[in-house]
Amino acid sequence: MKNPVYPAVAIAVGAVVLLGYFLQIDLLVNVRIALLEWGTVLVGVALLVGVINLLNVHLNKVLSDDNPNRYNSIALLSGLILTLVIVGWFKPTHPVSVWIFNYIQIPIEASLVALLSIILIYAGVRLLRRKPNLLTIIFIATVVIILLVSGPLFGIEITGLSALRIWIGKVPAVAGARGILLGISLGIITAGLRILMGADRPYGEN
Amino acid sequence: MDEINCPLCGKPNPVENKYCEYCLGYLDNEKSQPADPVDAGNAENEESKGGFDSAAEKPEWLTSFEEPSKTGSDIPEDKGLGLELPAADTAGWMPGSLQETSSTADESQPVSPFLSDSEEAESGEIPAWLNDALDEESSPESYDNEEPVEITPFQEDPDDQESKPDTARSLESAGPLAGLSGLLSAEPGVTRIRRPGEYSAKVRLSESQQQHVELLQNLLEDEDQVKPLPGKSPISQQHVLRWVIALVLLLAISWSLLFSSDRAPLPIYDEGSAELNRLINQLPENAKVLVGFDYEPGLADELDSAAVPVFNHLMERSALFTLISTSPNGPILAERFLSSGILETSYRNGLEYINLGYIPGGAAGLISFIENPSGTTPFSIDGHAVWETETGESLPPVAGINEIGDFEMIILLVDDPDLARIWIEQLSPIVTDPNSLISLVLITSAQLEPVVRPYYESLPQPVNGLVVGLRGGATYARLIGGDQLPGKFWDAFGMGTLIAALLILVGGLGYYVVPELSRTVQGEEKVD
Repeated sequence: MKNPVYPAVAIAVGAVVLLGYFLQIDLLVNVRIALLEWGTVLVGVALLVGVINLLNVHLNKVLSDDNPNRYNSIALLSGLILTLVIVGWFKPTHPVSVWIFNYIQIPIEASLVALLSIILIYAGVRLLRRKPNLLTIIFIATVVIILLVSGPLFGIEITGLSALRIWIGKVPAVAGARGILLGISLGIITAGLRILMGADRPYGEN
Repeated sequence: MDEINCPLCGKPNPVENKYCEYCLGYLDNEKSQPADPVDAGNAENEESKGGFDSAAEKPEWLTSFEEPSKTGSDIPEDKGLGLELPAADTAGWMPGSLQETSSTADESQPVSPFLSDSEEAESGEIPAWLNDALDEESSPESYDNEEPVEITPFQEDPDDQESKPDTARSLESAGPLAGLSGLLSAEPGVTRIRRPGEYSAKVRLSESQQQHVELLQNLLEDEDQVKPLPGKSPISQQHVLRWVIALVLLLAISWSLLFSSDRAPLPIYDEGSAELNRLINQLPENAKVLVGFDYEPGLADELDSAAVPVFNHLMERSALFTLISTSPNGPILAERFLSSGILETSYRNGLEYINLGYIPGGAAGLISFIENPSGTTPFSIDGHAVWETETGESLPPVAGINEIGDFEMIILLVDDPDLARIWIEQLSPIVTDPNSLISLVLITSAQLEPVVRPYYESLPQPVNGLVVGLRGGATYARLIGGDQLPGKFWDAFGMGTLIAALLILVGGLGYYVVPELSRTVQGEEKVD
């Protein structure tokens, strides 16, 4: 027989937090706030455990003789130690930490985003060749219109193009986004109800 | 005429015959009894009916059957054959009864058409070719002169063996059945061990079959040979296209940044930016503003450019900032934003702003912070106590703040749709409360606009102001005036979007039109 304690605890906590939204009872509200703070602390501890486990895994890889990726592990381990030592010693808001962030992490990630823009343009160029149909033409036309109107276009004002861009942004795009948001909301409600009823047990019970 | 009975079938045969005329069984003249039709008939009857010891024991009906056999042949007459052969010329192999039957046959019987047309048939003589054949077959020497032919198992037919004269098989030489003939062998003939015949190992193949064999051999030989894969060209058409796109974009944006002197005008109006400008203008001095930094470093430049005019405006209004984040990179992004010098005014940590750091737990952590800010984040990222305690007062940015609704404004810098949705949905009950004076505004990247705009368009509004990307920042910069950061990038941004649009348009049409034209030309050439 499966252990009934886990589902009971999960259902009870979920029910208390949910009821706290509907019933303004001081005891219920206080319990809900306490549970949320516990959850926040637990997630923080889990993050710390994850970092320690990552260090341990890479340390084992570095120490093992038959590991062909030891250089990557050494680099990652060095980076983690560097980050932990510097950030831990100087604090996260120290100018040294900010300098590392400004001149290492941000340029790397910004370069990836810049590459993404080139890849997207390249994909747009080849799209008509790969799938030349009506939807593709509509997609390409929409992209071109939004791109042209998003920038200054050398001060040239094309009549109706700005209005078309606003219409695309407010009607078709918002309609699609609303559908996505409604789907997400329904999914969240379903997942919550399944956990509250014990049908779904994401807390690792075998 | 002396006769002997065949030991196999019991039929009478002339004594000079070596083989039975009926079953071709071997006639052992020495062992066989003298031909006596009566005895032969008795012997046959004894075998079939169990035998009788004497004539007295025989039934009367049987005796009446025996009388004719003493005077003539015991074989019933066969008149249907219709052959009339002279007795003198009758071959020795022909049974005597048949000879008698032939001699006594009714002459009125019709002659076989096979013989009726021939002169020999009319004259009653056997044709020479038939007579020779009969002599040859009837002479016992013809069997003796035959050389034994070894029958290979492949050619051997067990059914035929019974009809062939094989004395070794017909006479049993050992065991309780020794001396008896015509016994069936206990062991099948096919299992006899014999030396197999010699067959040629060569296969007779036709010319087409040989060609197929050669083709198959060539295929198998090719399978064994290791062929190196054709090496990829280091420079393919796709590589060239990517490099061209990158170079064109880089050159255009660089030229616009370095050499463009005349700046394009900033966009005039945007509803979300204008609403935010109105809200900031309505803020009191030293207003408490909560700022959420929830974006990734890769999009920092876009969001910084959009947020700089807004924060410059807030700083003009002497707003105090409380920084918070639900992503691990958020606190240092916030610190960088306020301390990197991109803002017109420099704020001091702990006085004009405080950084509460990172809230773990995602949505749960955010709910906890909204429910109880001081309990969830009691210390700043530097480790200083932030909120009012029994031993000390709170820091200025959070002075008088007991709950989230005490802030005058909440600004969220976000590029992730999930984080934006969580922030908006958790703050929505507070923001849409008619008694609340707090407002929520979003500064987002352009890619997030479709996701957050529904909240801005809703009534009641969970989102009161919206600045989207560099264009939104440029619009806001135009509203507040001055040389703002978005204005420096506006030309380059416009050049980049224009080049991107042209590349997609021209390149796409070229990729689509050129192959279609080539196909059309090829089709016309085929038709011609």
